[in-house]
Amino acid sequence: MIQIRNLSKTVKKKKVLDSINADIKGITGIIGPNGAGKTTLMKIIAAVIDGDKNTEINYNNQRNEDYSIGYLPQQFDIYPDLTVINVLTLLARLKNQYDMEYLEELLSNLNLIEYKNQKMKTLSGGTLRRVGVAQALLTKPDFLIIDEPTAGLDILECIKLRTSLLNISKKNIQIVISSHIPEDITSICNHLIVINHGTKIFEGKIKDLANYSAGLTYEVVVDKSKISLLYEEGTVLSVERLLEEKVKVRILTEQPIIDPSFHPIDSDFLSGYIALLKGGIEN
Amino acid sequence: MINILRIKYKAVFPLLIFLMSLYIVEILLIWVCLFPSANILFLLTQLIIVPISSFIIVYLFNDLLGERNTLFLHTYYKQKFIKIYILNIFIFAMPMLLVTIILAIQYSDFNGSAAFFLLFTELFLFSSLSLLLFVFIGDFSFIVTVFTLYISVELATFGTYKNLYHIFIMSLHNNIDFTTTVNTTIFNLILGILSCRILKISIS
Repeated sequence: MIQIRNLSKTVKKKKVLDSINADIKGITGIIGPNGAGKTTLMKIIAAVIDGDKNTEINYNNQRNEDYSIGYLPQQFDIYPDLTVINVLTLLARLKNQYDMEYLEELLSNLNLIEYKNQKMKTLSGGTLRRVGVAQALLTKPDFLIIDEPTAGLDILECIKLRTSLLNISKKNIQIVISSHIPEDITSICNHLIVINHGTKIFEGKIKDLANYSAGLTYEVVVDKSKISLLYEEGTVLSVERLLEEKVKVRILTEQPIIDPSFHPIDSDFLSGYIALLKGGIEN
Repeated sequence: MINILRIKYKAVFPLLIFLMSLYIVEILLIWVCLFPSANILFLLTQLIIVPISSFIIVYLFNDLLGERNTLFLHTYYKQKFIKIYILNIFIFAMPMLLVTIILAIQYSDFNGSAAFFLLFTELFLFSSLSLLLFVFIGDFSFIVTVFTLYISVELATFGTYKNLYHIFIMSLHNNIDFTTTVNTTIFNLILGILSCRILKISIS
């Protein structure tokens, strides 16, 4: 477990993160809108940058030298002219962790064997991210910190990467991912932290987040031409096309609606997350 | 450490080939005794080979200092940066040693050891200053521009411009021996060590 106490970060006199206390356990997802401070928080957890003076981070109650952290930054586009195997070998040697057998095992586990002699600049976004994950695992870390794992990837690449991360989590490696894509969180994580404007606004299980929108999520069937009217009622979560110019709309409202054409439905992660960001109060 | 360098050199392979070609041309020129004095060839070594070698050494750290992954790669380089840098200085000084040996063989009035120590300190100071600037500016082309300008001024004024520190000895008449090189060698070495210390502090 990673215990975070009083984590703050000030950049150019502006508080980017403000007194965050959290316990990171299992596979933890950190979610928040763009500019919320996720990347800065991930960098501090990964010990890439320091927090402000009173920040305390405790890794498994261990002293500094007793744990190892693997970190994959949001942008991982290093050494375009080197091959995958060269890059991983170089990084492993820089950390005095070169072990060819382990490297081969990593490449095989992350389905990278066929790419190992390809130059980094020729790889697709998804493959590059998986090389990044391999890089983060080079030191056989206790904690794996991954910033925006699926940003810019297509659906198939996202699925491959999420599967890889789930496999990694079985090896007693604690994973922390940050994302603004709900599917990344719901498909991998069992613990969630939501931050907005540099402060923690939720910590708990993913299913608990749904409580924030309980009783406020509805489904309504309307004419396609009347969708715009629904924006006045609340936040449109999804639109599904039906036959005869009709659409089924899922909507999150600020107040319960009595209109019988609005059918209450179970709230979920997405509606709970949006309600939370909009300042909803847990029911 | 050598294994790290071997992979890093792959990233700058065309530049290494270019440098090697320059050495081959120079060694051929020395071998055929094209010039009556060793000084012209030694000047070419100082003004062409030393800066190019330095730029390559600096460019080897472009991954860490010149791209977007600076913070992330710092976690990898932490303890090794200075070691890799110093090792590079020695490796890049090896062909210079060869050139000075051949010069000393071909030209009897040329002191090979004095010339090598001077070249070594020139390489050390030139690359330390370039690397230091790279740490703060983060733009490799800026470093090349600044130092090319410096060399141009030195060449245009033939080392007589008083407001500049002279890393190189620009003399076509005096024989290269310890009496002519000792001052520059010592100053280069002291300034090189100073730059290297500042570099070590800045990088950590």
